[in-house]
Amino acid sequence: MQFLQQLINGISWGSIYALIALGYTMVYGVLRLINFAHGDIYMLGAMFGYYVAVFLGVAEHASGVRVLSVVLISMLGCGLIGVGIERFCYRPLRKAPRLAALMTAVGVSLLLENGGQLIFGADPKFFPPLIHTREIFRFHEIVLNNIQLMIFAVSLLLMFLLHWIVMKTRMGKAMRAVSFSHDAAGLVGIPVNRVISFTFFLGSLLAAAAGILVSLSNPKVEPLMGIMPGLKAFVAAVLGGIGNMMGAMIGGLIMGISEVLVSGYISSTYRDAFAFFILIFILLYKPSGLLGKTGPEKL
Amino acid sequence: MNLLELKNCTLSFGGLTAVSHLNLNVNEGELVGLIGPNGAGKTTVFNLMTGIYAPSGGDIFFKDSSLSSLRPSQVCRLGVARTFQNIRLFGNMSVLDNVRVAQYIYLNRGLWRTVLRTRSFYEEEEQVFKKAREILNWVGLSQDEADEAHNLPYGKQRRLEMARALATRPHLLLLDEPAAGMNPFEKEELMKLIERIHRELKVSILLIEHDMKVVMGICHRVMVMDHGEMIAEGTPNEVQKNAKVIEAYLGQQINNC
Amino acid sequence: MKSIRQVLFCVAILCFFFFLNHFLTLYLNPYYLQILIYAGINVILAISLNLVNAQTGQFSMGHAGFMAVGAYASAFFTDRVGPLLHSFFTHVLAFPDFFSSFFIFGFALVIAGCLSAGAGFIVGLPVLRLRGDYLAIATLGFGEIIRVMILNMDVVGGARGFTDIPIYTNVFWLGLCVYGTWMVIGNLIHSTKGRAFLAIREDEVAAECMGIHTTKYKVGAFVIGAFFAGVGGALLAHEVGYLHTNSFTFLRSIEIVVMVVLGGTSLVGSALAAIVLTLLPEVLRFFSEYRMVVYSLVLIFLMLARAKKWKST
Ligand SMILES: Nc1ncnc2c1ncn2[C@@H]1O[C@H](COP(=O)(O)OP(=O)(O)O)[C@@H](O)[C@H]1O
Ligand SMILES: [Mg+2]
Repeated sequence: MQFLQQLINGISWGSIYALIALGYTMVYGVLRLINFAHGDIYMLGAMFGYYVAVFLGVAEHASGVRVLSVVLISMLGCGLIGVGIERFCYRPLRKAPRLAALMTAVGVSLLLENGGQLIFGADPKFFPPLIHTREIFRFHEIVLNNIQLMIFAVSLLLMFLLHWIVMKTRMGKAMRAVSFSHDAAGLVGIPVNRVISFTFFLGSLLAAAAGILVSLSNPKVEPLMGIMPGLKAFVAAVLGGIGNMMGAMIGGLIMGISEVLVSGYISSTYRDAFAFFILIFILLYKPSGLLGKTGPEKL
Repeated sequence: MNLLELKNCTLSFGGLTAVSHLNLNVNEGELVGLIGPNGAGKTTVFNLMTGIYAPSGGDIFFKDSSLSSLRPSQVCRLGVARTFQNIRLFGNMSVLDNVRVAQYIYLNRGLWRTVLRTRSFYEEEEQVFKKAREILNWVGLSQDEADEAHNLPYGKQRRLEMARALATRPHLLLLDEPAAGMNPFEKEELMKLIERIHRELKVSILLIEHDMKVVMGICHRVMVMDHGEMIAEGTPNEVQKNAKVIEAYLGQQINNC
Repeated sequence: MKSIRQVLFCVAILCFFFFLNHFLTLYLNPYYLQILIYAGINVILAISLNLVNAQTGQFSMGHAGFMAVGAYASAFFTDRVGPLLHSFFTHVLAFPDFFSSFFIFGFALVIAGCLSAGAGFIVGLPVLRLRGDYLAIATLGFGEIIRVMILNMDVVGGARGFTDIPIYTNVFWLGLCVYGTWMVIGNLIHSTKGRAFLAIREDEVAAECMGIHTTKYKVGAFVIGAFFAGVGGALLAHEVGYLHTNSFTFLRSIEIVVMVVLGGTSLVGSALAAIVLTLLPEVLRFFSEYRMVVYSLVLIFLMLARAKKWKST
C-alpha cells in the first residue's frame, strides 16, 4: 500500500529529474561538458515563473492564458540565459581542457546561486497556486492527485517533443552530427555554434519547465533550490549513460523512485547521499552508464 | 641468447585484432628493426611489451621471466625502456628534470628522508644530478637543460625522449619511429646516436621506423608486420626483396628519401 | 653531528612559535588574532590541496570531507578522552596544566591527520582510477557522503552539531602546523622522488613507463593531502568550539579549489591566495556579503583569462 504511494511520488520526482537530466545529457553530447549550472537554470525557471505569476496577478484570477504565459515567459527567459551562458562563459573555452570548462561551469553555478540570493533575497517565496490540487484517484490510502498526474503527463509530452526534434528535424540532425564531431560537422557546412546555442536553448527550456512543474506541488521557491535536484539529475544522466537521451529519461525515473524508497525505508537523511553512492558506483563500475557505449582508450 | 620473446601473442580492440598470434624475438646485443605499413600493429606490440596492455592470448618473456601480468613500472624496473611515437615528454618540466625523474627507480631514500633532508638524501640527489647531466651531454642536449621540455624544437624533443629512456638504464630500448618528422640531416645524426647507444652503452635496441634508409642503414635484422601478423623476417636486403613485403607496401609508397 | 643540529633546530622552532604566541596574544587584539588563525588554517588547506590538484594533477573537489573527518575526530578525542587524559597527566604524572593540554592537543592533531589520511586512502584507491571531470565529480560525491555519514552519527552530535569543544588552537599550534605542512609538501615536491608527482600530472602513461608506480603516487598524494586537511579541520574545530556538518559542504571544497586555482601551481601562490581570500572579507566590509559572488567571478574570469593560452596550443 504504502509502497504504491511512494512509487507514485517517486515517478513524479523522477519525471522532474528526467527533464533536467535531458539538458545535462544534450549539452554533454555536443560539448563533452558537465554543465554544472544546469540545476540553477531549473531554479531560475521557478523564480521567473514566480515573478511573472505575481506580476500577472495569477493568484487572484487564474485563467488559462495567464497560466500559459507564466510557463512560456519563464521558459523563454531561461532559454535565453542558457544561450547567454554558453556564448560568454563556455564558448571561449572550447579548446581548453575539459576540467577548465568544468571549473567555469562550477563558477557560473555559484554565481547564479549567490547572485540569486542577492537579487531575489535568500528567503523562500511562495509560488501562487496556478492549479488547485484535486484528488483524481483514491484507493484506501493511495492518492493520486491532478498535479502529480500533470507533472508526469507534461514531462512525457515534452520528452516526446524533444525526441521528435532531435530525430526528425534538420536542427536535430545537425545536433547529432555535432555531437559526433565538431570538425566533421563544420566541414559539411553545419553551423556548429548555432547548433550548440540551440542545444543550450532546448535544455534550458526543459529545466525551466521542470522548475515550474515542481513549484505546482512544492511552492517554496528559493535561490538554492537547484543544487540538489541539479546534482541528482546529473547522476540520473550518468546512470542512464551520459550523452544518451533515452538513458537520461530512464535514469531520471530510477533516481526518483529509488530515492523516495530510500527515504521511506532507510532514512531520509541518507536521501541525498544515496544519489552520490549511485554516482560513484556507476563511475567506477560502468562509467558508460546503463545505455551508453564504451570503447577502450586510445594511446 | 634470447632477451625478449613474444610467444603467440594476441590482442584485440573490440572487433579489431591489432596483434594476432605473433611470435617475435630480440636477441641480446641486437639492433633489430620492426617495420610495416601504418596500422600494422607495431605500436601495439610496444604497448604489449611495456605492460600498457596485457595480451589476451600468449605470453611475453624478458630474460625468461613473464611480463604479461606486470605493470609498465615493473617492466621498466626489469630493464625495458621506450620512447613514444607521439612524443610524451613531461612538457612543463625542465629538460634536466625530465631526465632526473626518469632515474626514479634508482632512488633508495624513502619519503621520510626526502622530507627530513638527511645527508644521504643530498648525496643521492647529487648522484642523480650528475648522471642526468652526463646523459644530456651524451645525447647533445647540455645546452638546453634549463628549458622547459615543450619549448624544445621537435628534433630535440625526440632526443630528450631517448635521453629519458636511457636514464632508466635499460637493457632493451624500444624506439617508436624516432626519425618521424626529421629532416635528412637530423636523421643522419639520429642514426649515429642510435648506433652509439647500441655500441657504447651495450643496449639492445628494437626500432620501429618508416624510413627505409634508416632501417637499412643500421639494423642487423628486420621484422615485417602487417595486419597484426609477422609476414617476413631477415637481413635488410632479404626483406626488401620479399614478395609479401612488397605486396603489403603496395599502394603504400615505400619512403625512400 | 647532523642529528644534534636537527634536534636543536626543532627546539628553536618550538621556542620561536611559543614566544610568538605569547607575544601576539599579549599585543594583538583578539579579532586580528582570529583572522590570523583562519588565514593560517586556509593556508594549510590550500597547500595540501595544491599537492593533489596542482602538483599531481588529480583534480579533487572533496577536500572539505577530509577536513570534516579531522575536525570531528579531534573534537571527539579532546572532548571525550581529553578529560580522562588530563586527570591522568595532572594527578598521576603530576604534569602542569600546560603540558597536559600540550600533549592532549598534540595527540588530537595526530589522530585527526591519521584518520583523515585513512579516509583519503579509502576514497582515493577506487576513485583515482577516474580522470579529469569524472574524478572531480566523484570526489565531490565522496565529500558529501562523508558529510552525510557524520550527520547521521549521534555520538558527534548529528544534526544538532558538536558543542563545547575546548579551545586549544593558538598561534603556537597554528605556526607549527603551517610550518610542518609547508616543509613536508615543499621538501617533497622539490626532490627527485617528489618530481614523480609532477611527472604524473604531465603524462601519466609516460610516468608509469619510467618506472613510477602511478597508482601508489596518486593515492599517496591524496593521502598526504587528506592528512593535512584533517589537521586543518582539527585546528578549526578547536578554534571555533562548535562543529556542524553544514560547514563542510562541497561549497567549502570549492573555496579551497578557488584558492589553488587562483594561486597558480606553486605552493607560495596557493598560500598567498589563501591569505588574500581570508583577509578580503575582513578588509572590505561590503565584501563579506558578496563573498561567494566574488569567488564565482574569480573562478570564471581566471578560466576565461587562461583560455588564450589553451587556444594557441
Ligand atoms: N587503444 C586502441 N583502441 C582501439 N584501436 C586501437 C587502439 N590502439 C591501436 N588500435 C588500432 O590497432 C591497429 C594497430 O595500431 P598501431 O599499433 O598503432 O599501428 P602502427 O603503430 O603499426 O601504425 C590500428 O588499426 C589502430 O587503429
Ligand atoms: Mg605506430
